[in-house]
Amino acid sequence: MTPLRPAALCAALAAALAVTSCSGSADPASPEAAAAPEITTSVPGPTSGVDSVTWNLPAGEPPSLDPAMSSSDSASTVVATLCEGLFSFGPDYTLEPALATGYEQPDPLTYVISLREDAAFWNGDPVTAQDVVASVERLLDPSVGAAWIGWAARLDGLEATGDHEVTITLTEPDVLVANYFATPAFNVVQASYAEEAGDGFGTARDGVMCTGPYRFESWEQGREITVTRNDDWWNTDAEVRVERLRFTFVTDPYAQAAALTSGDADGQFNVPRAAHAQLAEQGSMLYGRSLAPTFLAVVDQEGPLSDIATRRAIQALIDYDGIVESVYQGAAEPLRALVPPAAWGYAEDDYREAYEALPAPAYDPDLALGLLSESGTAEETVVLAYATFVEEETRIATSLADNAAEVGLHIELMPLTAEQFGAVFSSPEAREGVDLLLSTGYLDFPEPLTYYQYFSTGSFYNFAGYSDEEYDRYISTATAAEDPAERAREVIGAQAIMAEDLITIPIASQYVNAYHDADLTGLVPRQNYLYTPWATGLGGR
Amino acid sequence: MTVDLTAVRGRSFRARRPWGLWAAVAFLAAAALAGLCAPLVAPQAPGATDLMNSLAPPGTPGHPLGTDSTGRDVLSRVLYGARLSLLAPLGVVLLASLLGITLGLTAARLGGWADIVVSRGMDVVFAFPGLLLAMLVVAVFGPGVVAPVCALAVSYTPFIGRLVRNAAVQEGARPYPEAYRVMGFGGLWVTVRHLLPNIAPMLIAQGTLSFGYALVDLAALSYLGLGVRPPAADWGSMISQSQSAILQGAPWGALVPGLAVLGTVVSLIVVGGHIGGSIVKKGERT
Repeated sequence: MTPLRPAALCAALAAALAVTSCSGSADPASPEAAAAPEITTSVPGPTSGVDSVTWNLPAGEPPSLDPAMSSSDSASTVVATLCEGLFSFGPDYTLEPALATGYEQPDPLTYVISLREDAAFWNGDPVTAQDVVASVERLLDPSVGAAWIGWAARLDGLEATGDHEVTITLTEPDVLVANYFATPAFNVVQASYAEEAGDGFGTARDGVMCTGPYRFESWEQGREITVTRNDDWWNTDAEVRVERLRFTFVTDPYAQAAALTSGDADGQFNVPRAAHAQLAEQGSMLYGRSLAPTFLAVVDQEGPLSDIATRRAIQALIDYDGIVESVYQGAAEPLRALVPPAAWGYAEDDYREAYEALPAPAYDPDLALGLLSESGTAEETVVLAYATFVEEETRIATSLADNAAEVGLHIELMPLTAEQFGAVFSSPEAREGVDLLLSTGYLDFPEPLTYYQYFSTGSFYNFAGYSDEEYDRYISTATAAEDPAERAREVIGAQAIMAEDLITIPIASQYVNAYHDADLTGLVPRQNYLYTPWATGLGGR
Repeated sequence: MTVDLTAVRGRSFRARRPWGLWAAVAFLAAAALAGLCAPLVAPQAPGATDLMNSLAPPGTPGHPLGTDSTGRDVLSRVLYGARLSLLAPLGVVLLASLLGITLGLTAARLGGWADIVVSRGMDVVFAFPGLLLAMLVVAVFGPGVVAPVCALAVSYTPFIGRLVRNAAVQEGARPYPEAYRVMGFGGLWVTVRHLLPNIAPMLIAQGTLSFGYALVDLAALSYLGLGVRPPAADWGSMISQSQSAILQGAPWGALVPGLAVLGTVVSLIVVGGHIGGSIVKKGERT
């Protein structure tokens, strides 16, 4: 301890309080005052070029720019501007040609993909079929540790069948596979460059060698990543207006708000919610429907949640209105099922009919009380784990625990740091003692099957060890169903079982959000910014 | 012409200090009472949430100091928060005093190698930042109150241990301990009956100041999410949980517990300073 310095201590405390009391001139964002944000479906196109745009990555500096490792928000946001897959997701998530011009399916097990002949890497070398095969195989190499391997569960073979043709064969039909052609699972990197760089590929030293609308320029670690426009991009139809993108790594919400309001940063995705109102007054605060559900996942179905009545009681104790209107400030919708309506993708009428037949989400303490009186595990303590770094989820967990306490159910909160939360998904030891996990995930593309398949018997993400023969049958049949209506029927069957068994308890789907300053235009926020060259539409107003 | 400046200074000093001292004592008493009587005076349960009534401003009916981002009553949480916010530093001071007095007296009485080992050991702990030690302990044993209190107590021990050791050596050199020993009293009796009471005011002064530091350290740990487990209320975690509301123009959730921390720490400094000043004056007189 240093010698006592009362004056200094008092001054420091007083200064902290002065900051506390003086900042923020906006009116308190009471739920009543907050208007529900509007969904942005179109914006005026850019009319002028911009030399440089500084875009902040709120999740921090990415560990790598290797597409194989681009499963974090930060990495995906940058890699999406640099590297391309065989296809790209259009605004409505339909597959649009990118490095491939199209594919044919001579039978349900075979995909013959035709490659673009005029595509070249940034160094001018043409993209070959061997590059495509090597890129995909590289991701599937367990030593690389890529997150994008799930799609290959039924992969039988992958080979270059021509100078500009690649053929993929499966062991069983899998209707999901084609969607992955537009994700980083099929991002193409130059094979020779990746091989030569070795472990340095994707790092600040070696960067990457891809084909996208921006080329890697520099990475000053701890400070910024700079990418510059690739004027030789094959897509000459797209007029890329921003010449240089600087990605910064400000993670502190207050520093983000300060950077965005002062103009140090021109924009970012996932803006701190507390700053939305203030930013909306000075630039463009944009919202889009997301494919992201926030939900409670049963982690241990042997303990206090073994009784379905307790799980139903917990569902009835969720303050849906408060969560949507206060926690998410109207930028969300309550969920009846795990997969949000924005992620139906096809057979929407069928999905809607089934969705609306599910019970409307409502906070009903009386119902919860009744259910708990029937439950054999109502006296046991439910341990609810949640991520403390997501403020919205801290508030949801706190509210749920209090609502439960009011009807006599004890929910013990287990706040987790980012590292602890990450470990829950990879280590059974980290899940030890956890009954319920509050988390937010997102679908990579609007196909409900991708999420419901996680809860079939033996699935990696089926932490609770849930197993239901009928559910598995629905998932299995849907995976092979080429006909969308037939597939929807099967998925809806699985969805109904999930809603009945409540191995996951859906809460809400929050909108994706983005901000950019008043001088920019051209960005429609969508979940697919993670996998599409989102910055190509951006430009001067 | 000459002016008796001593008299002027003396009058001014006497006229001002008691007000500050009494105000500090009153604040501390009020904080302690708030913690003790929280169930009787708090308008709401400290954990009662109401999402639809979040960030209600001060003066809202039923919420004199407003609500936080989860709709919890700020006044109620500050009152209940006084319990953990004051008890935990008290635990730190008591535990550190127990350890410090034991080690300090042992080193002073045994002398020689024991003195060297204890003193160097305390130097090592002294060199290690208390907050960092507490963070390491929390990383191993998990968040809560017990682990940080124990860790901070260990890191505060050298301050008290050194004080006790030096004071005991000084007192030991005076004639009375030897006189008692000649009279046949044991060393332990002399230490407990005479030596400790003689250094007690100094210990109280140090303990008061350590209390303030411990409060700030524990509040910092709670602010970092390493202290009390939610939904329990303490001032540090209240500041942490309400910081984002500042961006929304709703600072009261952080401001009120912040003022409570500020008031308590300043009051402790004033009281501790007064006790220390009294010791010095007493020493000058003797």
